Amino acid sequence: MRNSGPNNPEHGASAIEFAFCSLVLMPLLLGCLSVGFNLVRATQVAQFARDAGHLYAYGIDFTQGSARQMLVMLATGLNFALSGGSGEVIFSTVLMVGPNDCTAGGLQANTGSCPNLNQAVYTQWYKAGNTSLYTSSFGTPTTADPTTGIINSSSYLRDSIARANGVSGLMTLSASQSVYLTEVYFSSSDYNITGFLTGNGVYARAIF
Amino acid sequence: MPGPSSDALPRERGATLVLLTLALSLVALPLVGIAIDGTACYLVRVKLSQAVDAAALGGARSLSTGLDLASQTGSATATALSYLNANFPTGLMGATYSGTPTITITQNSTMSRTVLVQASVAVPLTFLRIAGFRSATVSDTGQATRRDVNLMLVVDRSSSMQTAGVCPAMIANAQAFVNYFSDGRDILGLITFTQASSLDFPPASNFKSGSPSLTSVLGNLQCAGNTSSAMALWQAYGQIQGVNQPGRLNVIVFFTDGRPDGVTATFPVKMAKDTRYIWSSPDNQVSSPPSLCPKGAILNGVIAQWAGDSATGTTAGVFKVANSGIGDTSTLSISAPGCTFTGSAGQTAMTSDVAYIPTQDGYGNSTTGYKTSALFPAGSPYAGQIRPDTPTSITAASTNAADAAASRIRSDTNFNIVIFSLGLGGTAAEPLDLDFLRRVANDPLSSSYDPTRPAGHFYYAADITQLRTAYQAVASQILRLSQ
Repeated sequence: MRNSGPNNPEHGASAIEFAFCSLVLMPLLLGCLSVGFNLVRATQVAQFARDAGHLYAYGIDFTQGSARQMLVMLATGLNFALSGGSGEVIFSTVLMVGPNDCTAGGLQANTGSCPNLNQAVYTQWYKAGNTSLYTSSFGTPTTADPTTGIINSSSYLRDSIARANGVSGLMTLSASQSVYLTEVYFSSSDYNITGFLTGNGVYARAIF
Repeated sequence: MPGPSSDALPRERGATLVLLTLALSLVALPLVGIAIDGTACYLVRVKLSQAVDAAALGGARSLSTGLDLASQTGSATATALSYLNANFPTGLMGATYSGTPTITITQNSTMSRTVLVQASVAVPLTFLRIAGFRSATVSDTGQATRRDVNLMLVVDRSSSMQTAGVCPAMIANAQAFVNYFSDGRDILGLITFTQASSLDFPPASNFKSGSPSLTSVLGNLQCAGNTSSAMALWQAYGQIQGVNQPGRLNVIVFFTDGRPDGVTATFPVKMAKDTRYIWSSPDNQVSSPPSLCPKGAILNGVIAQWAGDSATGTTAGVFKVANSGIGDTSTLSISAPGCTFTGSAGQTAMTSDVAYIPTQDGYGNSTTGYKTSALFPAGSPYAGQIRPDTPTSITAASTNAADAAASRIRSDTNFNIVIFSLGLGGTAAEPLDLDFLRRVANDPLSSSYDPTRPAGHFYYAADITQLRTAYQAVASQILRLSQ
């Protein structure tokens, strides 16, 4: 019979071996879990960006309370709230200013009178959710109306702050073409189990 | 009893390590790998689905670019590809397109065109590579259908826009709006209105390529006169009936910067002496003799008011129900020999010649209902009839007629016409009637929303600098409905 008593010199060897294995395997497993959880969240966020962007392009006005409730429903499982929460959405309409747009704004179709001619500019821009989480890399037009998000033509035709920097790099826009850009950001620091993740959130955008 | 063999112990050392390694490498890691690779593929699928959807929608929207079907198809294809690449650039999560995405645009006899986008990508696998699976192919399809549109653009060109100095910018915004639609497929027409409306561009599919084009006609627009909204709406309805294409999306876009203040009707001649406000001192009521109009005179035209929201003030008429078109700034009265108002810029008509406002306008629209009009009091020979001599009663009757016209237009289940209203500005003295404009559109926020009838939407531009965005929103809604 094998001596398994406390006096056996090999008592606890399995535990020690398990501990050694765990030094390598547990971080590996936790890392896999962390990556997996974030992939799931990335998928949810991408789906949410797609749905919200689709509706925005279809003319749903997410400055209205009822429409914002719809956002909460679309983001089920993502801790999205009308204020606070873990997520933020930025809705914007981007216009490539053409000569006709300058004329429609009462300006002449040249860069002297209409400095944003041939520039991609925001004509509407507003946020929903936890609005302090994320700053758009395309720019923040501070001239947007805080309630409706609408930016006056006198601003989007003239002000450099109204330019949507980088959108032209995503796609080629023709004169007077508008696109609907929806950016979504969710914090994922709760899933950074091992501290391996370099970012603190998941970002997705949809252009319709 | 002998103890365990000391030779056996070394063979068991490290057994846990081996077992754990085997369990993890053969069971746990493959399972985790499948989960991670599978989730990555699903994420790519979601992104690709978004990209093909956006490409199809963007392509369908850009079917309006170009003056012939070939250039429109080319434009839609290029735009669809642009949207596809913007939403799913090559290299996203290491995925690359398997072959060239296909974009197919078909048109059918039911007055619609369909944009079909198909794309496949190869997603590199990480963990399953160990098992020999280097990549997985993910495919998706997006489709958008754009129904052709029959649209009547109804534009207010009343004097208030001239006063505000926004007439040229209003024209430019309307011209930009026209460019959202597809020459050769959509049919667009233009009606402008002051105290009378005019068909300035009959509905046509060559509204961009024809001569003159709709945009060039808009360039001739002059602002002057009053706001006969009901007449303009009803004329637009008649044009849609004339085109007679129920299979299309039939739309009226109604733009205004003020309240209706013109009533079109056949007005009864004032045959009795009564007490009413007079044009020379419109704040006072005085005795008014019977009209001098000859027996059998017909007062068929438009009456209007020039006093904003004031309870008393100048009224005018009886104006002609037609003008010479978009550049006409005249306010000519009808020919009524013998009547007092003739030759007096119409300002005496309500004092001397018009008995009252009938309960229906010249198009059968009720002048009562939504807004309360001032009535002649008991004791008057016209007791209970709508007064023509106060600004507010003319505004109320005009508003009621336009409200009724919009409701009747929507009740035509053959054409299922959707009305969008667009309001510009408004002043403290004469604010826009937002509820009225919502009612015209059957906006869900209106006080008379009818879910059984086509719902439109009201868009508000606080000033001319917001008009571009408002027009854009209208276009977006129309193209949404047509997809």
